[in-house]
Amino acid sequence: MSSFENRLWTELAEEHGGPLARTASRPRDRPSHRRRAPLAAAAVVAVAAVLASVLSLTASTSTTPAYAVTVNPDGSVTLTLTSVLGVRGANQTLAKLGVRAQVAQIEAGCTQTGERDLTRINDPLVEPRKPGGRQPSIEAQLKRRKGAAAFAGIDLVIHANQIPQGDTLLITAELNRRPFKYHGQTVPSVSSTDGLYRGAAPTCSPPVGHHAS
Amino acid sequence: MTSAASLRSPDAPPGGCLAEFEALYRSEVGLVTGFFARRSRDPQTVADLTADTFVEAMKSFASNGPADGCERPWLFAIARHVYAKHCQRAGRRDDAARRDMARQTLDEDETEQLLERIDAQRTARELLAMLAAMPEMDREAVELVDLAGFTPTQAAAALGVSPGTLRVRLFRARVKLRKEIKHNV
Repeated sequence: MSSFENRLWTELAEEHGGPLARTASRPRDRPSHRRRAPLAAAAVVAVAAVLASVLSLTASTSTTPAYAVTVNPDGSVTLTLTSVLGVRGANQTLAKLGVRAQVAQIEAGCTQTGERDLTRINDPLVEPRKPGGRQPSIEAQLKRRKGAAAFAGIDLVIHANQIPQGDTLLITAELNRRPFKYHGQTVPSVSSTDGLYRGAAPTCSPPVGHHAS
Repeated sequence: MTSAASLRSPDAPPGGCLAEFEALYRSEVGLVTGFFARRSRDPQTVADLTADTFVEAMKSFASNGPADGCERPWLFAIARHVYAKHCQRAGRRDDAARRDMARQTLDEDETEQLLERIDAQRTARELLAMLAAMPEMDREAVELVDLAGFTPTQAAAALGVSPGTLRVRLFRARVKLRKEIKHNV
């Protein structure tokens, strides 16, 4: 390459490479081309009372699945996100299941606010999924997929039945700037937050400390 | 509630998507520069449009990137779009103002290298000028396949037409080109 092309790459990587550097791999297919469970939401919920129904809808073919949504026997829903690329698919699946919860990406410049419902602020509507238990291991579901890498992502249980009527539970996910060590390798990490909104929730969320008043 | 959890595959390659994009950049930047060198004799314009193309590509690579094997057509579709926007700006006569804001200020060596690249495309520009009266897609079919080294399938993907349509247009343009060359000799 010429010196111009070398310098251009250096500048591109410095000025615009951050988001790509924080993205582990890109999907090879769009979610719409993947296997989708052809079940109506009501049917899925009914089956969930008998056994844990797993809808492992993925946003990638040979790489780590980007998300999975699992309906648990107690009516709660386990949401697994291995990539922000899975946000859209996860939201579509939650909507199909009739779960009034959605995931929003942190976006600089997001000005959406929505109306918070603080009446249930002390109720744990979302909690980290506890290992063990009777529901099928989501890690096992993900690992069984051909080529799926070891799981290391958001894994939350949403108590969907406790979301007040008319409210929407918003979960945000943000890649942390500081990576951490995982099995001796440096990998990105993510923090998640959640909150209730009256009516529709914002579809994006500003970075922490940049919320509009 | 705030919870922190690990994310991402620990099997991901170092650098993630950026390393993947860098490989694409290094393999295609010469062709992209050549694409613009066939359209402009100004090194600064060639540099700016090349940079704009890769900035746009970087923005969408992770979320809306190319399918495997389609990287080149995807990139050239972006390059064509960038060039179309450049022509619109030029039409509005505000290109000079934009040039003042150019992010790639070229030094002497870089200018010389790009001038050589532009000079190397002189014959290609002349050939394309012979096709000036042809539809734009016909010209681009010749350019991508005969000058840039695309396969007909890649060129069809870049131009958004079927391979069959591309081959018809390519054949028609080549016939026209031969006639023009005979006429000019």
